[in-house]
Amino acid sequence: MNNSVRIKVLDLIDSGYWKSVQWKEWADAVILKFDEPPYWVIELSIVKNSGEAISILRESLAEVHYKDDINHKSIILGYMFLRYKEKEINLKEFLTLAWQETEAEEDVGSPSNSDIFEMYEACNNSSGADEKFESIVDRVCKNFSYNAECAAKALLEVNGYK
Amino acid sequence: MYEDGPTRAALKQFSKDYVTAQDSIELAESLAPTVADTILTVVLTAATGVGGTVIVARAGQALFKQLGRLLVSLGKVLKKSELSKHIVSKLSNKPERFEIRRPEALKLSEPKRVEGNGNDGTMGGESVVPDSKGSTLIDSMEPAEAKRYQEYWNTGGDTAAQVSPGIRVSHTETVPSSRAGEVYERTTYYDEFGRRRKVTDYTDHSMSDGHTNPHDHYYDEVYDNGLYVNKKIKNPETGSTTFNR
Repeated sequence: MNNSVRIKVLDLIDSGYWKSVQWKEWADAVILKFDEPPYWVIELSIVKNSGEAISILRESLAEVHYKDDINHKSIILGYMFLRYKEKEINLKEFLTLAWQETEAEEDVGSPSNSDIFEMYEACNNSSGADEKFESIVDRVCKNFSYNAECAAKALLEVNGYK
Repeated sequence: MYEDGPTRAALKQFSKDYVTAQDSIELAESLAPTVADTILTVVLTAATGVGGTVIVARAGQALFKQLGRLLVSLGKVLKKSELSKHIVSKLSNKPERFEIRRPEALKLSEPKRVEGNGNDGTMGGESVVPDSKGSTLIDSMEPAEAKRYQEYWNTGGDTAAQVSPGIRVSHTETVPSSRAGEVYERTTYYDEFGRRRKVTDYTDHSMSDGHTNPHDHYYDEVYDNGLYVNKKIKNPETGSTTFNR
């Protein structure tokens, strides 16, 4: 299994898209599939919370000095957007998470921190059921379409290992 | 060794006893050795295997050699002890166990505020006091330097991830937000190694749904694409980097 999958699993958990049920299910499937599954997958199958899972993945990536050219911010924002699209979180919660994610470091291709705040404010000023709100939803979906695409591709790759 | 009182007294007594134990001819030849002579003799005997002066009878050379080795060791210990005393005396002028003291935490002064020119005390490019000609600090910089300066402040002027070890006490500063116009108080906490561990923002960033005022951010050194970096930790419950109160 290549390191690219490992970092994509990290993105899935770091973004909150995968909860313990999902990563354990994935890890169990990988363990069953491979004769000698990677040790980090075995560890992942038994950890209880996302903090531990993230630590395991980061440490295992550090051991192999893994580095790649992909900006994972795009993928993480995409997973956050999917959480909103799948109605796990509402629009305001999504925009808050996205704003925090881009607070320290922005990503070319993703909406900027100030753009996200503008959308958040617009959302705050609408009733949540009017035409104005619908236009905000459209704007959000349009702005995060690139991220959603990045996340969907990454998820496909990760699930391909099951 | 000679400067150490108890050692000097013991060697003086040794000299007397040794001389008393010799016969009259040796006593006459010894010319009543002093403590310094005795030390020199035994040390030379230890080092060369031969008596340094006539007071050493051939039969006693082995014992002198042994005593010499012991005195050399004693000398080293006494020298070390004496050096330690000197260090202590320079620091405190009283006998006490020497220990390296942790530096005091730096006390930072309040940010300066200048009335009537919009200066918010943050040093941000927009806040620099213009001179009589209306030019600002950035105007006086080389283009490359001005660009770097402006870029730094465009990041929101994040708090230092590493400070000198020992500075654990937080300091509060007025900082510009990544959003234009917002300025808020921020307190940063460091561990004993000077690594950033927690930041408290005294604002809700106008996002009251996601932030309490104040709220905290926790930091740790994590591996991130080839480097260990001091990054915000996410709340496992919410996936957010904000820990509300």
